[in-house]
Amino acid sequence: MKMRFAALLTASLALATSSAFASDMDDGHNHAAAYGEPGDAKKADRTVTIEATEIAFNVKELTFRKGETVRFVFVNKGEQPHEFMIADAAELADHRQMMQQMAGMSMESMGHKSPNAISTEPGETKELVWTFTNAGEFQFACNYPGHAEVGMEGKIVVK
Amino acid sequence: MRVSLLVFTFIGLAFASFAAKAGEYSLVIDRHDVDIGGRHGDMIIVNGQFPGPLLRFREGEDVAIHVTNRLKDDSSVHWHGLLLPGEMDGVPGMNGFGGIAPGATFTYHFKVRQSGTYWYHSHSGLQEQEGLAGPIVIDPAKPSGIQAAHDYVVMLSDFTDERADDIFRNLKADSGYYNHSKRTAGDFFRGMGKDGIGATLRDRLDWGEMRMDPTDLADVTGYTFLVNGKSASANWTGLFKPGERIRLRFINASAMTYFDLRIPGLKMIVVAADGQNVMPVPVDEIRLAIAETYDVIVTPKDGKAYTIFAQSLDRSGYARATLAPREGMEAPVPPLRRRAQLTMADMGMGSMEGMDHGSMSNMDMGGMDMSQMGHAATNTKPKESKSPAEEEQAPKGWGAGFPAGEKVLSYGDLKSLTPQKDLREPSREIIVHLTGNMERYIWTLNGKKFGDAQPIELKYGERVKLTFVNDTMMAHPMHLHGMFVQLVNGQPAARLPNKHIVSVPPGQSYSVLLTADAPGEWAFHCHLLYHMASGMMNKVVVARMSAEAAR
Amino acid sequence: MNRFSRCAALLLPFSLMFSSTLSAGEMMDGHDGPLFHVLRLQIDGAQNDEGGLVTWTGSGSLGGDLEKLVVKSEGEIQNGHVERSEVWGLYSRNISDFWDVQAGARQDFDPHAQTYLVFGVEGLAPYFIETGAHAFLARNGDVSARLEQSIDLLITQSLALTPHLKFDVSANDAPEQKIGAGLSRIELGTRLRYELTRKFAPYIDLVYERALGNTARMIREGGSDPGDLTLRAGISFWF
Repeated sequence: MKMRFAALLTASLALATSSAFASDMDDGHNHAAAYGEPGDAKKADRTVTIEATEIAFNVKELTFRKGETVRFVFVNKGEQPHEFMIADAAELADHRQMMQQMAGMSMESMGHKSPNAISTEPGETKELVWTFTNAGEFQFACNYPGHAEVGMEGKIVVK
Repeated sequence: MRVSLLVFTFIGLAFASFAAKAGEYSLVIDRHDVDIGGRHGDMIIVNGQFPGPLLRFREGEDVAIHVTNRLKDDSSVHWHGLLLPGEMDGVPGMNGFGGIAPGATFTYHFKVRQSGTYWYHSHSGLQEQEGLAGPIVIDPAKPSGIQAAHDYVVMLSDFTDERADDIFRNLKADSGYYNHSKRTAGDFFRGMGKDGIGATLRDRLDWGEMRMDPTDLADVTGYTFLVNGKSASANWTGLFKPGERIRLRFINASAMTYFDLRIPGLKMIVVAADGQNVMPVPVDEIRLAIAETYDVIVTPKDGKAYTIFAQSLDRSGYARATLAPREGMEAPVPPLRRRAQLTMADMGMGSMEGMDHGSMSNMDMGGMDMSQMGHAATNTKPKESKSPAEEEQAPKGWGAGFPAGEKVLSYGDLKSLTPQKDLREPSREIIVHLTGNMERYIWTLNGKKFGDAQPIELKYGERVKLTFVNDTMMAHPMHLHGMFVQLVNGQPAARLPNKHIVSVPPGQSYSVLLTADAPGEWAFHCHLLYHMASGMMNKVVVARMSAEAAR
Repeated sequence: MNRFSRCAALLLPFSLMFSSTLSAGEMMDGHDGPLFHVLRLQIDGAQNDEGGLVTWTGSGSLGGDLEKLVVKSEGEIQNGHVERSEVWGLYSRNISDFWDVQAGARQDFDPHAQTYLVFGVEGLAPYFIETGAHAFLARNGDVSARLEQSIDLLITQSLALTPHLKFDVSANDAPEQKIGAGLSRIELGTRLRYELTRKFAPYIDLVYERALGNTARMIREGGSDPGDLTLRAGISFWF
């Protein structure tokens, strides 16, 4: 009984810290990040389809022009939830750690509201429109625990 | 390991037959002297190898495996974890299979219906202890998305130069024969110094009254632990280039040994348990029960060596291997941790200090970090660093002894990657008490030895719940042949993981679900070899309604 | 007649062995019940007032988990002369986790030949106390009993101190055997054993033996000392 209480307490603590953390990050996203900002679907220059399978993306590297707005169509062809997130290495690492901490909770409740990420259930298709405002090297990844580590990550080069 | 000319001939033979035809395999079982770092054992070899060679199948393949017995006794090979017709399961006395007589060849025919990491071993007498075991890797029909530059089997085993029959006899004569960590007068005085004479005396009397020993973590010691047949000093090495992903297929092929396995400096991403894909779980350490398999992905970033370190639960030794960019490189080998001591909670006798650490290590815990609980149980007050006196104190409880902050895989973490298809509620619950008499070294299910017990009868297609109630102070890795069970581990019904081994910690209960979709007679037993040999086994009969019911 | 009944008594355990072997044999297929055998021997020497004393205790068992045949022997040799010797043949059956009931025969050769029927229990009492309690019915109708207990206290993993006791009680005077009614003989000792291996251990044993009551009187009348404190040195082994 005592244990269960402790577990609850830990879980709610984890929730509290992570949601605080998440809102911080959301703030961050509202400002333009180095790797770009949310774009307008109507102004998309091109469409890129990203497929998630078990446990991989169908692409390893993406190359875009600076200023390009891209409509990402993210298709989950796998058997578990997957995420597609565009960010730099540091933010991805932070995000991954947060999701790791939440691993005790139901995966389905972990879908978050970051504008640079979309989370899908198996069989689901979602879209993300992103404008790459700066040149540089960024990353994309699925941050469900262990997914990036076993291969669900790749490079974005903006020229 | 010294191999004679004769053995080379066998290898030659084996290759010849391997090459014969796709889907045809040959295993020749024989006996030979095996030298592990100067310890000689009269072991069982397969195709001249110790342990047996890797069998690599493809999902969907029809296999024919010719097994020739060159021993003086009957033998058998059981394909651990494989879904197949009962008569191909290789358990003498079940489904009309009578074992393989000396000099005879038996051909196993079956279609490979799954993929993943499994193993094979003898199901005759104590031959598994003598080395009749080997890995099985089945490649999926549709290649896995996980792209690993290397795919290594890491098969752990416990080698001894003692004859298996002698070990069994010694245990029967003196169940504490191999326990060299019993509580002594010195422990008593140390306990007195720490907890006071009253508490120490009371503790001794409590255990004495039950005639139980809290140091009883492993029945058999004196083993040399091996990785792929190599001792710690022989140091099996898997090569990699920095940044490459490696799939490690851990198999605990030991007869009697639980391992605590880790790779200092590397996070292990568990991607399969008992051969079945699971949603990835990043962990620092795995407590590997006997006969379990786990596939993990590691990605060493640095161009240095990493030690794969698997210490036995009773801390009597360790298996060690190395991942390195080059042969011959080594990383430090960590010291053995302190051996845990069982508590009244491990006896299912309620709790000490108001904390039920017994139940921490599994079921209710979901994704919680087991190590933190072990820590909480050890220290009632949080402390910055341990004083030497505390270092002296053994971790309390079967599930304790992992360092704080380390993520240890727990059953609650496992989620099936492929959604389960049978989501029916179980129609009934079957309670299986794990029982035994340690003093006489008799291990039983529901208090009955194999042969004295009524078989467990299931209707074909029926969905049942099996609940294990461990009435003993040892953990038992329970194994059902022929069908996977789904752990009731707190995950959503569609994500309950498939397992062929269910490790039930001392004094605890654990439930699993089972769809009886494989007709036949299936062995159901504790995978501690000498427990099974002493009677901890039963038969599960899955009967088709029509023909079978009429009998 | 005398000889016949003695033979009968000695044969009893063997006939039981036969049935035991059969039933154990039936369980031998599959994963069940092989037969096991164990032989244990403990032999030591000491110097007492009367000279050299050699003491032995041995036991052998053959059987499965449920049923066993047990043979026991113990005795004393004083200055080359066997002063006390007995051989038991028992059928032993497991009745609970820690206890066996036993029945069979005991044959004493010294100081006076006597045959008994034996009935008793053997096992592990709470607090790890090895216990044997047996009652004896002699051919002449005399009734007696024996209680033996010991406990292993570990000093280190290989050094063990074993306090042990043995009480002999008799319901009758048995002058031929120099046994008087009541508590006839006690033996208290403490044995320090060093296990070189689990199966081989030298030991020293400080033993106080004393005859009591009528037994003591009879021994005194025979010109011996009813009490004897000895420090024995010996070896114990099993295989």
